Amino acid sequence: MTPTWKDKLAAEIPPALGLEIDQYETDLLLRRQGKIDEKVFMEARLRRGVYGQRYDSGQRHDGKKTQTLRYPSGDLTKGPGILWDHPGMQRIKIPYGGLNPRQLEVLADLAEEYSDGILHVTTRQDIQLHFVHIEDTPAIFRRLAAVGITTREACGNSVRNVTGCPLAGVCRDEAFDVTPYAKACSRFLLGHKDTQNFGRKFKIAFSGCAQHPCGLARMHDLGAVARIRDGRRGFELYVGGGLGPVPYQAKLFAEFVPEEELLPLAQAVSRIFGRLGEKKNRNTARLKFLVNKLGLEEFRRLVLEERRALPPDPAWTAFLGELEAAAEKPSKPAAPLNGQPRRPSFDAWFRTNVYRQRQPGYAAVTVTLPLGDFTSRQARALADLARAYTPGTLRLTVDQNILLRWVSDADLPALHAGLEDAGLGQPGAGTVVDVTACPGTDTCKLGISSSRGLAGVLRERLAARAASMDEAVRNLTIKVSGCFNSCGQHHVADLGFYGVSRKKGNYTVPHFQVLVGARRQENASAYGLALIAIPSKRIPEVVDRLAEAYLRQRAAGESFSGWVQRIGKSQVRALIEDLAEVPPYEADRSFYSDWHDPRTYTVSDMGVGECAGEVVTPLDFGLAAAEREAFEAQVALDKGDPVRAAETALRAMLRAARELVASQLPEVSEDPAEVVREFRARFYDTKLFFDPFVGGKFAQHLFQAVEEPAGTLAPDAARRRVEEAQLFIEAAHACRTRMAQAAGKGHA
Amino acid sequence: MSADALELQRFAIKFFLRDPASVRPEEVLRLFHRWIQERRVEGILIDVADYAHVPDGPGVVLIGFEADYFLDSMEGPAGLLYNRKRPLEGALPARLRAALRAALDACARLEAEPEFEGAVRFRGDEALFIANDRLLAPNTEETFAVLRPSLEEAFGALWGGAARLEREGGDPRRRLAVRVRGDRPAEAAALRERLGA
Ligand code: HEM
Ligand code: SF4
Repeated sequence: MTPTWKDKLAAEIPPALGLEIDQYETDLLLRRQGKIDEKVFMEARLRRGVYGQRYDSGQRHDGKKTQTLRYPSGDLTKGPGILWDHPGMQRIKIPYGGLNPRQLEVLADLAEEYSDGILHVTTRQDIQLHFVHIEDTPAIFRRLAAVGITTREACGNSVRNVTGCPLAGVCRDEAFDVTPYAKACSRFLLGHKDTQNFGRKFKIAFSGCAQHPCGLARMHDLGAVARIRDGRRGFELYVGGGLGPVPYQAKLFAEFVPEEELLPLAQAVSRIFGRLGEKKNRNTARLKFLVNKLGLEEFRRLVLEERRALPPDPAWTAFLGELEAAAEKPSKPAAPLNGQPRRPSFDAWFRTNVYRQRQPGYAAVTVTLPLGDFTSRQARALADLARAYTPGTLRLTVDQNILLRWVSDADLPALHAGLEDAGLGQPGAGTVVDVTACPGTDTCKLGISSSRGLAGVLRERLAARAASMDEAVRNLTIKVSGCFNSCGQHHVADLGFYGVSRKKGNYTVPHFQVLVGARRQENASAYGLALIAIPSKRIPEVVDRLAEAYLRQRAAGESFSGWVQRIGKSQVRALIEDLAEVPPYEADRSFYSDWHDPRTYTVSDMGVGECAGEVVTPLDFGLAAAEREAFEAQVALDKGDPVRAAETALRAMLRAARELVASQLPEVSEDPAEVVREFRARFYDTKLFFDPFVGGKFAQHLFQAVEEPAGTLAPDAARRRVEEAQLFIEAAHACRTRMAQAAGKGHA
Repeated sequence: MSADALELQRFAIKFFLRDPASVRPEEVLRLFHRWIQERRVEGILIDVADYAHVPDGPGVVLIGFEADYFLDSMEGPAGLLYNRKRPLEGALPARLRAALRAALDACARLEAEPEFEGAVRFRGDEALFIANDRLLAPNTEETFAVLRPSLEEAFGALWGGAARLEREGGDPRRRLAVRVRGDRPAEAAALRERLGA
């Protein structure tokens, strides 16, 4: 009999986990034989972190034509339109990013045997493997389970990975170590009956302090910030935050929740979300929409009422008895850093990658990972170094790096040498070089532009200049998402970018929206807003120009967001406006393919002759005008005039809608009622305006805005309307592209 | 002795470049995309993954369904690594030969690409075999002993009886890896011919 991982690891896998995996494997076999529905199987796999990957419909444009991937399993699917044989992504949940060396070694083995030798750290402290075959997933789960890792609820409508500050326990500013709380919360809610009927994902984060953005508690569905009151531990609790196309700041649910109330409250919130959260329309199903709909007061009342009715559960407080025992302790005595031989590169690395722990004589060391990637071999080297110099604990960070804690100062030179020998000794952690990126067009189905390609290029260019860079510029943060969904957290960087596309003549050109204005302090207390869309290939110039201007114009000690606010977004926009121009295809083809992807960026225009003239239609001009108006709305917002901002945002949406209608009905008037009526009939009811993934969501923004007079909106609702207007206009661009493609096909 | 290793289906074969600097990642990236367009190498070709930013990493990868093609620097100096993922027909020596054919087809194709003007050359006297399955083929002497006759048979076709096998030592956590050396160095295309159809 051929051996199996199931038999081999039987003694090492906790029985309950083993049973779950067996059930999943049965589902997999049944689906293989077509005996269960593809949607049922899809939910089963998503709940175990098994995601689809780009081109999984079996269609891929190779730069010249669309090729069909003809797999041996033919039409067999693992979800609607998703081919069985197309390799996918495996997300592996790592609560608060905490890993031990043994776990790291197993992850390394899996990356080699089932993926491409690369481990990828995500923006929520998970590990991802790409290009994994569905039939290998049970073995992956078992090998992980044997070292205490589950992928359960890594995707799907569930409690996603619970994140926490990577410095927890060693941070100089924290109220106390949030690690055991994050761990308890993640264990308690995992598979809990009250978290199984959500309409959408639910994200939880823990922060040790209120001022630093490491934990990003305020952009989560449930955010807990450590607080000590009258000598007692507890949390400031936030609800209803979240990034995504339209980001929401979380609202303060309670100023102080004593530690023993943390889990029961999380359970009560889960129950309310499960019971009252939207189920049908996934676009309004996140907790943020429920909090918004009910109002914070009512939401709070319902949760507290629910809390009172909960049957007591010993798990709520059991972990509190073990806090002391669970605390990390150093494996080596603290000894000063002096005298040891060091490599020439040590000092630069020390400056950016070494953090002095609260505990004297110890340091926390960041291992910089380019784009969050490292190899199996590097993983083993890291496991060795963690064993040699730390108590064997590592943390994945939201900046897509790895943190080694409890390094005795005296060991820093040796650790640095070890890292460098493994290709892991790059300096620049937490600086402008350390660019964050979502998977983007590399592997994500929704990607519009190459976020990783751009991040790689920016990283390379900035690293070359890092040594001579002014401190102020060196400390900027850059985050890139491949589309508006914000998986790269572009709203919380000094310079944020998200992928969009624009039509130029007969071609489509990859672009990025440029976002500025985010305030990272106080746990990411303000989000960036989009200034203007610039062709992908010109984004490095955008970075250069903005960095130079900031450097030139900043007042002493002024932050980047402070500078943006002082000079105003119109000024900032003016600095880069000319870069929005796209040269014609014949003049410079480089604009028409994306970073690190030589394929011509277009899907269906290839058949049209290369020398076809430029066509700028009235629609293009109209959409550009709408975009300008949306930007003016943002300026009004910055000037503290939310009413005018909301009015202008609505005007921008109406203009974009009117331009679309006019492309079919040139005589349409400017009357809002008529525009909306015609738009609804021609673009909404026909689904012409629908986004392939979020459907009619963006059109709803317009319909809702005409119903709600600007004067009645709260300031944060006005800000959302500005954001919605930008998305509506993006959707209009996308719609225009689809119409052109459809027309193009007609000619061919 | 357990013969499980003979069931091995996941394994990799690597041929090293004579001059690791003879080809740049950007060039390979472009080339692999073109190979997809023109279906230049065997198997269902899916996409190209670019890991050139990772030091000593898998480099640029042509992701396929049955197998991946890496311009790899993780397993020793730069070279073309053919990573077989899906099962092949026949007994192990036959499967190894099929993989060798596919790997050498890719090497020969790379050598012949006009844009390199003959600058890219593989070392035709050495290869690396990696068993990519810790369940069936753990990294032990025992596994090596089980695999040895099959490896000798398959690689013997390249270098006659002269193929010398040497298990790579070092880290036991790594996969079982075997250096194969021959004494009849040749261009990739010539090696490929020795395997027949
Ligand atoms: C409607 C679709 C999606 C929305 C609204 C969405 C939204 C988000 C947001 C807001 C984050 C980031 C930050 C955070 O909450 O802390 C995130 C994380 C992430 N998303 Fe998405 N996402 C979507 C689909 C996808 C898809 C299709 C992929 C690619 C396969 C993807 C890949 C990721 C990754 C890799 C992360 C990082 C982290 C993690 O959870 O470990 N997302 N997503
Ligand atoms: S932001 Fe967009 S492109 Fe990036 S991972 Fe999320 S959905 Fe994909």
